[in-house]
Amino acid sequence: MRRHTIYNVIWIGLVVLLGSCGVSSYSDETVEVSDSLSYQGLTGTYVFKPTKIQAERLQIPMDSAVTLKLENKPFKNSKGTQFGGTYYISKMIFIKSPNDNGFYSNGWSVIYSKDTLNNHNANLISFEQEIKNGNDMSFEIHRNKKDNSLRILGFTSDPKYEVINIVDFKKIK
Amino acid sequence: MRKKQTIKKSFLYRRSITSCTILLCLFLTQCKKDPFYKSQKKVENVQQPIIKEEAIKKWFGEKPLAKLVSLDWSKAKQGVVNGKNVVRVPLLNFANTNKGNANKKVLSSGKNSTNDIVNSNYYPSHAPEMFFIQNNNTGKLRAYLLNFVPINKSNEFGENGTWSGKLYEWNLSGDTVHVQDILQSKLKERYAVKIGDAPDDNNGIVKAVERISSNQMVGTGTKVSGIFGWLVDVLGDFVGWIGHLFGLSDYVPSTSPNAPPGMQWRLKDINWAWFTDNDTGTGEGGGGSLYTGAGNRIYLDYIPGVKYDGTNGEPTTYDEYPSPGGGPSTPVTISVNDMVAQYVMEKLVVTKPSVAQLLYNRFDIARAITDYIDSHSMTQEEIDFLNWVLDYLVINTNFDIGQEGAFDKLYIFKNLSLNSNQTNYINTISLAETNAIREIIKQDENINENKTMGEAFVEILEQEASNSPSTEGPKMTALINKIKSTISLGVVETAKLMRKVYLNASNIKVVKNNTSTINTLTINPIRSAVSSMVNFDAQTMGWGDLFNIWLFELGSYTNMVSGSPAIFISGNTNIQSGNNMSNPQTNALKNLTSVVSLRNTIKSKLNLGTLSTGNKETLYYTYNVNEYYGSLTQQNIAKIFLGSFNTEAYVLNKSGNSATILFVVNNVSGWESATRFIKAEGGNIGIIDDKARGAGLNLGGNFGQDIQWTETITW
Repeated sequence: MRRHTIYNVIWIGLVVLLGSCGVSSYSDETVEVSDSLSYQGLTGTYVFKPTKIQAERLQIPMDSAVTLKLENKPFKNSKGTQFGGTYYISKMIFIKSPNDNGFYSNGWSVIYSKDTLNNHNANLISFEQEIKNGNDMSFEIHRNKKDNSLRILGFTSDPKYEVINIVDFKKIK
Repeated sequence: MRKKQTIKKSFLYRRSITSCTILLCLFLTQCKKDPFYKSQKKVENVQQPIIKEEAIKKWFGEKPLAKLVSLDWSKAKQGVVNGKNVVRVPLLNFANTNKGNANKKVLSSGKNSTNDIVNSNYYPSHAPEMFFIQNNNTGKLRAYLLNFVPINKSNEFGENGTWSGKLYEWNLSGDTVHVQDILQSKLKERYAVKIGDAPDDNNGIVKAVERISSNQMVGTGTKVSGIFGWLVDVLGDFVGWIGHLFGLSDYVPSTSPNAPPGMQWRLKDINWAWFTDNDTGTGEGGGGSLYTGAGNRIYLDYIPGVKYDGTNGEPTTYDEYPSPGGGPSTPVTISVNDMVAQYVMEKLVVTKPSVAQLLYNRFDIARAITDYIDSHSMTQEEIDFLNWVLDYLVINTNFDIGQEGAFDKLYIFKNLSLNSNQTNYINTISLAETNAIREIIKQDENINENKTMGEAFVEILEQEASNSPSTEGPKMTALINKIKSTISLGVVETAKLMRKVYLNASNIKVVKNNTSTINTLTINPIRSAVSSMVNFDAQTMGWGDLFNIWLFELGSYTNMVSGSPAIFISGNTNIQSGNNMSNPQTNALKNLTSVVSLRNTIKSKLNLGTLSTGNKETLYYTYNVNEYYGSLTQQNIAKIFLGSFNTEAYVLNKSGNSATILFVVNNVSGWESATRFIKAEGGNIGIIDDKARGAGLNLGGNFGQDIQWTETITW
């Protein structure tokens, strides 16, 4: 009976990930925000405390805390699907191989992506930066299942194109 | 083959608390001039059998080992102690009975020389005794065999109430004997001894006993199921040794003509006259069943502390050992071999005369089956298997039941259809190889699939061993056909089947230490057969083709993605557009969620003017459990195959409200990522390590995909 159960588990794993992929623990705690966000809800201060793996990947101390502040600087594209402002980050970690992870500031923007074909709507946030070989991450906006607070999750890949969760900013105010 | 028993502390604790307390009390009282009936405890005189014959008969029926004990019911006593019914019966002395006194009712077969027989631990003045103890409330009956072995039989052996020696206690079931070390009537130490490895001489037996300290004693109550505890090396091991402690067995030098080869301890054949219905005795009480054969009046005659004369009902002074009269005059001999056979027949409900005859004639088989019974949980499946084994052995009398892995080989014979060459091959292979093949059969509940796989592996292994692997045999053909038919069911079913093939081949590979042979004889024929089913044209292939190219390591690719050979799929291909696929809208790569999101991002940024020619946007798509179930519902083979992946979009040129975008999807397929979810479940089971394409077994090596196409986006 136990053997049978084990194989059920195995097959779930096998058929799910025939290609390259990975699953992070955030998926159990959060749900991607699928409704359209506003400035008011999004702007504020976020903090990221890396896990050991994330710290190694980002080449920052594990005990460090990176602060991200999103400020309101209203603008919209002509079709109103994008808005943004200015972000301030205490260590510039939105780059593949950090060569300067000090304080940094630039623009941020959110695009509300509607995917009717797959019935999947998402708020895709981008962080502009001008560092060479820079931004190699993509970001999603999630909510904590427990308290509805926002989280900004960043993803990148390893050399085998395994997608990993590299940053996880939690909104504190 | 003998296994050391695992100590179950909690079990012993419960058991020993009750038994040790009662028995210690009984012994300590006994050690004062047999104070069983002079104890300060409340002792009630009883005039009727306080433990029903049926209860004792049932107990004997459940304890095969108890049949080794010849009790002298003529000296039985009974009483009620602290609310418990107690019947105590001394044992008969085999050694004495074997010295030619044919008139004695206590007999062994007497067919061996008696010169070398010394039951050194049998002291007639204080014979070993069986204690039957019954809980008055529950009716549960326990029995213990006790023997006191003095340090010096001439001194402090009960004279003036002084005892020095060891009191052994055994429940006739486990492999553990409890010992109380007594010095001048005071308990000095209490511990347990367990039998260890088979000894090679008398001293060795003692040394082989694992002594367990008093601290550990509470954890030593391991019970050995059924017959195993005493028939493990019957004549040279635990029973012999334990029998020696209790005055039951003889020590026979291995050089003795009476001793089986390599064995020293020998239990004498047992006279069952007192315990069986075969009693042909003519005396009073003769012809009865069980112990009644020793005299029906025992309970009436012997009551602790009093004598009941059986005539007027008045108790009188206790008369310790009067003759009960009666009993059989003709001994009935049942050999140990017969007992083992009977044990097997009873456990397996054997009814076929041919099987019964086999068991009686072949002690090696009966004993091996006994070992198997006692070391396995006897489910109906196991019982069916053993009955099949016996049927098989009736016909195949030359099968070596004593060989290592004999039952594993038999399991293979039962479950696989093998020709004579393959059967002979299985008979010759190592235990490791046997186990590897057995595991193929037992790996899951898909019996037919496992059978097909197992027979194919046996076929190619036998061919390889006989240097005739040139042609594809019928079993291999059957496996290939199975795989081909499974491929038509889709990637999920194919993945299930091929994972099993891969793992089984890996196990065989480890055993045989010959990867190239496994590839040549097993994997490559499969790959060759599947290859003809695959469309290698990058323009027109589908996701199933990509999957098969990865799994079966088909085709030759020089392009590289992340260090792995990769297929380059460029332009308006079926993979990108979904053309000629089932469920094309869903399975088109350009329509996957991440690509759509990336397209929306680009369009928005182009609209805003923050994206220019030469810029790049990246989006990483994570595939989680929810996505998995969604993809199953949608039959989205693209998602299932790609899992998580990243998509890059390059702005090739931008003019007015239009731009040309190059989409690039890179992905690497491999075993590890295919089985990664198992880690997420916390099991770490079944994960297959990544491997390079072309290395090791030629299945599932890392395989990359570089898929590109351009789109014109307007805003």
